[in-house]
Amino acid sequence: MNPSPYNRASDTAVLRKQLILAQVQLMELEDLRDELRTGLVAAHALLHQNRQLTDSTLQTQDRIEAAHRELQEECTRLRTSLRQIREQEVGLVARLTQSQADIAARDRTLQDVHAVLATLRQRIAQLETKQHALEASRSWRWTTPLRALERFFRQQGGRAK
Amino acid sequence: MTPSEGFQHELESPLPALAPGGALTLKGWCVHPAARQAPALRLICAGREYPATLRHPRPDVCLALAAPEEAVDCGFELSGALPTGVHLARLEASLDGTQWTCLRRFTLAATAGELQVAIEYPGDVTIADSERVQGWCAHPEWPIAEVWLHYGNRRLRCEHGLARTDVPRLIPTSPDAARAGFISVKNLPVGCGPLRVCAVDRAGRRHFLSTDRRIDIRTDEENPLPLDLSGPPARLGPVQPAGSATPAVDSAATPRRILFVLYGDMTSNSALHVAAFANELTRNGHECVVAVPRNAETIRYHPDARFRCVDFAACGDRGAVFAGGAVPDLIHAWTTREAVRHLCERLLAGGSPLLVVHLEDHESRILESTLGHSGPELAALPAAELDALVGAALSHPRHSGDFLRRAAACTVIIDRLQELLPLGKPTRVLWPAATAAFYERPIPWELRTALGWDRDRTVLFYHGNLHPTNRDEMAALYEAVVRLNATGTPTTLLRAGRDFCALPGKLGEQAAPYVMALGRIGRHDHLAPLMALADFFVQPGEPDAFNDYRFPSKLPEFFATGRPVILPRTNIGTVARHGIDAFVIDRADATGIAAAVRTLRADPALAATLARGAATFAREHFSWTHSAAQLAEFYETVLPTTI
Repeated sequence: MNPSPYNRASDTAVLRKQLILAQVQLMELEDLRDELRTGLVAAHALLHQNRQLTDSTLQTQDRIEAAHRELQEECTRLRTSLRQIREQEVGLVARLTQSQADIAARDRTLQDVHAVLATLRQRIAQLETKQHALEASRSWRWTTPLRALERFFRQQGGRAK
Repeated sequence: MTPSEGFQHELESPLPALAPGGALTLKGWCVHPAARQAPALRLICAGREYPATLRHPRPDVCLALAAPEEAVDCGFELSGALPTGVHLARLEASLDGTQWTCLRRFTLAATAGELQVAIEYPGDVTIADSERVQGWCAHPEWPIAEVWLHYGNRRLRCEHGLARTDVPRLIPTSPDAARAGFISVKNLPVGCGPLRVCAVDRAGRRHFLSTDRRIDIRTDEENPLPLDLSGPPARLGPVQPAGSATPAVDSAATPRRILFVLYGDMTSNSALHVAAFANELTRNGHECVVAVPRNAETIRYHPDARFRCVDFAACGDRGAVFAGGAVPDLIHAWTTREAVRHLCERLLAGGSPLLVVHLEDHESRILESTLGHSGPELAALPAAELDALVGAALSHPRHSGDFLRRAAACTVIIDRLQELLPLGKPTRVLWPAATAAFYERPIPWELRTALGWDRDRTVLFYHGNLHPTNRDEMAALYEAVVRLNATGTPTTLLRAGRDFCALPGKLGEQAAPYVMALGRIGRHDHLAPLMALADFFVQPGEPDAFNDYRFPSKLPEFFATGRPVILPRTNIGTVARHGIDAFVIDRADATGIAAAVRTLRADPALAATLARGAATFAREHFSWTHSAAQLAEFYETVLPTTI
């Protein structure tokens, strides 16, 4: 570097001081640059991580949304099935009610039949008692030949016809 | 590979996707098993649609997925221009061109496009004439408000906005390409260096572009005589010299919580020592916190701090400022000054941590010197008056003794201070040191020459404030500089630090032509490259009741820098060997300093010996790692084995 064009001693002293302080300022700026560089690297790393996370979240979200769509479709299918089942249920309940009514009527009829049957069984018993009494009587026994003769003539008469 | 609605695809460009300068390019492939043709692809991003611009045959994909041969063109490429920013992008596919299915979503970051510049006049690669520079400058995205030319130390503004008919064709996206022309406001002034263009857009953002032009202008209207600025720039050395890595340390067997209580904020001289110890102890595995009366944010002046700094107010009654609200195992009070004592007494009352007190000065002498009263005069004052006089920044002549007696142990910066301690008190001498930044720096002769300081000139360097306590010593140094200049030894004193009082008589005025006062240098390690400008270092003073009990903290830095150190036969001057480690004189007053400088100037061999000796002395005696290891070991001798 050539000699300075400044001649006055005070100017030179000022320039010298400025030159040295400029060096200090350079050091400060270098510190600042280094700090900013570190900060920038950290910020870039954070941004990168942030975007990786965002991309990953988006993928997860897409998968969740796809799964959600599938679930919604499955849900719709299940709802339709449920509706049909409910309709069938209503029909079945109606049929059940009718069947129960029919059973009740038949039960009542059966009870009536049982009552008639009991009456008839009682009458049969009376008649059987009466028949046993009749067949055990002397008159029935004494008239046995007559009834045999009657059966013979009936058989003969039948052949003759 | 992600199936979506039956589509199978892969995005083969690296993710997260980036569009440098806004230029988007994405590659991948996509097939659908139900289609005989490769599906159509598009990207929806930033409100725009980017269709696949290129298709590539991908037989590998068809083979792997058993896709039909007709789908071999399933490779795709998407391209286009994106606005700056981070966008959400949707990659979509379609079999018929009407129904589109989203294959995936991802983020796409587009960085800003680069400034476009053309220097059209002058046409030379090296511009050597002082004339106006013309050209055009446009940004592909933002309108330009200002254009500047940068070279060397020059910043020259240009008139911008001149009409151009060609630039819109070259940069169609630029909002102001039609007015991209510029011309420098005047002829380029003297300067040297590569030409860079700086454009400020309307939002205030600055965009730089390095051109292929170089400026080497040696004369202009104001400088008719040629100035050659083309040499290498004269610079100080780096703040951290190469190979100044911190040595490895062993981990502490029992990590301790250590609270340093400092009398001033982190810009004080003692803060350098406390910070160095706290850093080293932290590296050892201890947890350190430094409490300062106020301005804890001044820790920013210690960018490598590994410890926390808190205001006294944050310490509460127990000092629960450690991780998880833990209290300290040990308080290391840095001097007996009242502010420190008050906090320590409060913390000791709130629990029972051990107290260690550090002394680095003869506090009574400082008190007497600062207040301008002798010891007996102060002792005769009523208590209230004495308390008011002492304040918080000095040591109280009556309370400091009790404080020392309460301490479990003491540390002192120099052995003579042990005389001031209660008898039998466990004590360790801890020498300060210099950080790696100060070690053995050569003189930056290019800068010395640029400053006009040739090899016949002696440059001294002194960093330290001028205050009433050291006024006489500083006066001796200044007077020595005046005398040296008056007797044919051109000498310049580079001085860093602030003046809190005036020099006696007209000494300041007489010394002014030979002293360059740089003021306070914010970061201490910036002093190291500045100190390298010096030929010798001088510690003024003489043996007395003040100097015998102190260790000037700049001395380790003087020695470490590797220059002859002139110092009085007191404190370190009683340890350093004259003629081997340093230039030791009985009294470093004006006469002694001037004589020592003349001797060293006259005997370069002695100067070289003392420079080497100083560096060796520093390596042997001044190590923060070593001093901190001693301190940690001392703590273990006073702390209970299990806490």
